[in-house]
Amino acid sequence: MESDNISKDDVLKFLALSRLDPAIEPLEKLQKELSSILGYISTLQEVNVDGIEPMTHANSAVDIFREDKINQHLNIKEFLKNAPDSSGTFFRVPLVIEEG
Amino acid sequence: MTNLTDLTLVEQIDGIKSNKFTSLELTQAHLKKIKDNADLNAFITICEETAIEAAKQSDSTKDKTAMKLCGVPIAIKDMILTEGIETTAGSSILKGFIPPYSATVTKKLNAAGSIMIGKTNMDEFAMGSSTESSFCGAAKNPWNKEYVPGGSSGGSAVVVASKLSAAALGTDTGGSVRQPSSYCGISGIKPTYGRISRYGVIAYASSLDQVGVFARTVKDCALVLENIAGHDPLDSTSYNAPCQNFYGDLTTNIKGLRIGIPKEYFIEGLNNEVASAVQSAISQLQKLGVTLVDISLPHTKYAVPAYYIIALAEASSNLARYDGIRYGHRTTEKTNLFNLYTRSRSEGFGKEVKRRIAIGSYVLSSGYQDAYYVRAQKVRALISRDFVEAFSNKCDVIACPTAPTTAFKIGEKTTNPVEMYLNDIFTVPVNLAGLPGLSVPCGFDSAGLPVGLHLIGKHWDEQTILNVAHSYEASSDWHKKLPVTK
Repeated sequence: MESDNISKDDVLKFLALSRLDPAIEPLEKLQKELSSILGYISTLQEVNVDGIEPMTHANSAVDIFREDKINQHLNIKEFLKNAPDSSGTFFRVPLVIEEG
Repeated sequence: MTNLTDLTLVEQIDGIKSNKFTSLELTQAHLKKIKDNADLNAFITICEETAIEAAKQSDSTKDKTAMKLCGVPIAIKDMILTEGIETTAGSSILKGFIPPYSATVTKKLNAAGSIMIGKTNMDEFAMGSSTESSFCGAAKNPWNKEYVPGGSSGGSAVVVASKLSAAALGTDTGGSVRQPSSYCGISGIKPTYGRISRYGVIAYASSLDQVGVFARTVKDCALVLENIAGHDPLDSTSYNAPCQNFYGDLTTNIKGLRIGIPKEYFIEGLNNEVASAVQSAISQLQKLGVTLVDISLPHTKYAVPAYYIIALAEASSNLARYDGIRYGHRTTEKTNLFNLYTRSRSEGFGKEVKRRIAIGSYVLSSGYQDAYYVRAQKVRALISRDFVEAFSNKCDVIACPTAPTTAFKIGEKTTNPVEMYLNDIFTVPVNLAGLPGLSVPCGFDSAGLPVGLHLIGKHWDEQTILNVAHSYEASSDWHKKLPVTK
């Protein structure tokens, strides 16, 4: 299979989009593997899709609504049991907005 | 005396309701067999205490009439939430995650009276065709433990083939119920997209995922399917239709049905022994009164690349929630928020998941979305149209091989991702079109590994493919041949 050779910069771009850490990932190996996969999926370029509407779902249903009212919901304490870090009824995270 | 674990699901239910044995005896027999066969690595979590407690409660229930799956142990793929019981999706990023609620299918199995015996091993986040990418290690094919059971629901297939339970749930996004069924010599059905609720089923690719059923007989598949299918207001993609009596309406009379044989599925690359076994099965169907019709599904060869664009794009979005904030693995490194995300995800996800997220993000990114994702959705429309045309004019059911080969050796395909993806060549078109598909055992290769016959039905017509499989099964005994286990 032909491969679409992608550059190391492309790999870093993919990792950033995916929120993956370039310091941990094996960049050269990923470069080869991603090139191979992209090369394979690029075979779709040969298909004539003129006039074809994209099919987003196997299900033809649209606009499934429910009444806008509060239903039974789980206790926040139950959800917080799985939290890596919490404080009171909050999930605790590093500083989001830095000072200055 | 028959071992309780040898009985089919239907026989187990009959046995309990006619007081031949108790649910506790049945559950304990399965738990012992699970321990004796621990080397198959079929389970991530074995629910011994809760299963025994549930079995005792089941036995103490006086009126069992409404309990259609009364007291029988069933295993559930670890992709499906079970309240209070660890659910990991085969990933270390969810190690220790205890769901605060159950999936709708879990609740339906409970309501029908079944006993949840354990959570089965699987490829990480259902991304795989061999169950080798699980953070718990590979599950083993009980026919030959050096071989994979298929994936991603390989653990569930192993459980059923090895009689560790009579039925199990899996999920099927590109073949992950049907292909392991084929590799392990059992039956497995993926229903029409929307037939079974996805609420509480960990999402991989939301427009493709469906829960499926494994069992050693088609009757057992039909019975479980009937009890977990149905509209769910919590899943807006679930189908609002009257309940169907898949088990009650099973028949072996398939005279006059037209079976389409797609030329694109019998090609170079298809293993000769698989082709031969499937051709024999199709000839057998002719003796049962069906008419064979040659058909063409001309866009078949584009199904795998289209699938891998769509599935990976949807997966990159679905797996964005694993960010180390509300649940799942969080890095212990003290760092800023952005690095918390990237470090937690890189530490927690396995290689194949990271590859797929990376490709998925790329095909959705600015400047590439039209070339990849939108194009793939148009090809999906063409693939779906091929099936609609075949079913409108020419045939009622399509028959073909489930997989191009029998099971392969553990480690054989892990170094080349694209080679692994090609295992799905006959199954992914069915997910793209949202159709029901079923694999039923139809023979063995010269190495003693099972071969599966794939039956594809029209939308919402699970009954016809169940009937064809049931009729075929009744006229053959492949489903009675099971691997030797402890």
